[in-house]
Amino acid sequence: MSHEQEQDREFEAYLKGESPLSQTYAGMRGQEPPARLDHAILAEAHRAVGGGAAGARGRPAWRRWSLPLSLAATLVVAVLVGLELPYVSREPAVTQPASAPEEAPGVSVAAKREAAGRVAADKVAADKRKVAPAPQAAPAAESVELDQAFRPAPRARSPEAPAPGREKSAVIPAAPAPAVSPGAEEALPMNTAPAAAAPAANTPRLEATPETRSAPADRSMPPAQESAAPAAAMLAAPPQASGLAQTPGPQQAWLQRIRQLEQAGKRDEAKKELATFTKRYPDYPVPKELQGLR
Amino acid sequence: MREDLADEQLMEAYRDGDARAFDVLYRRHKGGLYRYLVRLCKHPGVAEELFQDVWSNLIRSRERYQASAKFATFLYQIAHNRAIDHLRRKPELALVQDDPEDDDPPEAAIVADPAGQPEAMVERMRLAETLIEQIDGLPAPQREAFLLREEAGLSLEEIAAATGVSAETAKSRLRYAVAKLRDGLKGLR
Repeated sequence: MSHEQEQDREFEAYLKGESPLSQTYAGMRGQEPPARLDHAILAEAHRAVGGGAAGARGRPAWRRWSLPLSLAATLVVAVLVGLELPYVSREPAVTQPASAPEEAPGVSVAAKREAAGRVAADKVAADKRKVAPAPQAAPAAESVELDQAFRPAPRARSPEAPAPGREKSAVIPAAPAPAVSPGAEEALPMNTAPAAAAPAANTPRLEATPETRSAPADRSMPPAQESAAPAAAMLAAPPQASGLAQTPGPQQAWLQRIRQLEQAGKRDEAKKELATFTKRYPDYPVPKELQGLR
Repeated sequence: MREDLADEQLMEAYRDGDARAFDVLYRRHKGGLYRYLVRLCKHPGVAEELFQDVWSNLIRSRERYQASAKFATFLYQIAHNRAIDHLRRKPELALVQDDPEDDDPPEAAIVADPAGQPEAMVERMRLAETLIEQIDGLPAPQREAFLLREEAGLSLEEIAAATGVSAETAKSRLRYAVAKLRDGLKGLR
């Protein structure tokens, strides 16, 4: 038998599975793919058919419903935000002017005193209303307003006059009769004028509420020139133009204090105060009697 | 029971959304396909990459599967094409030699036989080592034909279909491969 014939015969035997070669090779089939490949491929296969018919039956209900539920939740949140948006966007327009003075570093002392005075006046008015027969909802409303009105005062931070003590004394005048406590008066004499001159009836109710509403939004913001600018512009406007025609503005109170300093012979201090004042309110007219301090 | 179904039925079931059918198919063919790729490419890292590619390809092309073709032919046709593509893109890999540290030792390829005698085990290991060397030494087309026959159990016609050649060419390659391997093992028997 030739070599080629022998090969043919062996090949035929191999094709029939009778060759020892196949048997030898069959004993070498121990090599398998790594387990990580198994996991990756099976996971891909299951993902491709979305878990498959059998897979879907085996899956818990929450997984089958997770997609539609999450879509529905997203829709609900979007609708709620959409409904809330007009209210949120309207709010700053009302509150910004009132809250801005609190952020203005130079104004903060006067503004705080004025706000405290108004709050005190409001409280007096509230007390009066409590004595008189009032609608049932009024006390609650008042307490909310007052609660809100008190919030900005302690939060206001003034780099020029860091006076936590003063703030406290300004808040204290919750006492019914005098709008400002003696302590506060001593700390800030000029505060007595606006507080005393502003009876509860004259204090616009709108003032306290917007201030307090804007407070949370402004709380985290540092006192900045940018935010003080519109406030200064508003404050620099003639008092008649604003709704505070009957109430002396913080500028007047400040000027009054400068006058008092000058009268007390503290000319240097008065000059310093005036310089700070003009820096803060460059457009506000300085009274003639104080122009000599410049 | 899915285990009793033929490959083609399982593939059709998977195509129709039965993910568990794929599990059975994978279990049946993962070892053969892996060894085919490891011994064809002679590079375990590349073989693993191709192995995952082949199954991914199969998963993606499940909608096109028709039971008229044998499943193993379909699977190894994908594997052959992926290996060719890869070697065309990185021809240097065709020449890469086995890294002895990266490759499994010959004894890892041997199916454990708990009842086997130590002498017989040593003999089998020596045979396996030689056979692997012989297979690695075959020209790639012959090596592929032999692996398709041994690992996938394909007939000559199916080897021809999987590799895109005529049945005569497939037969010739396999014949040469078997003859060389037998010659190489003769001294050990």
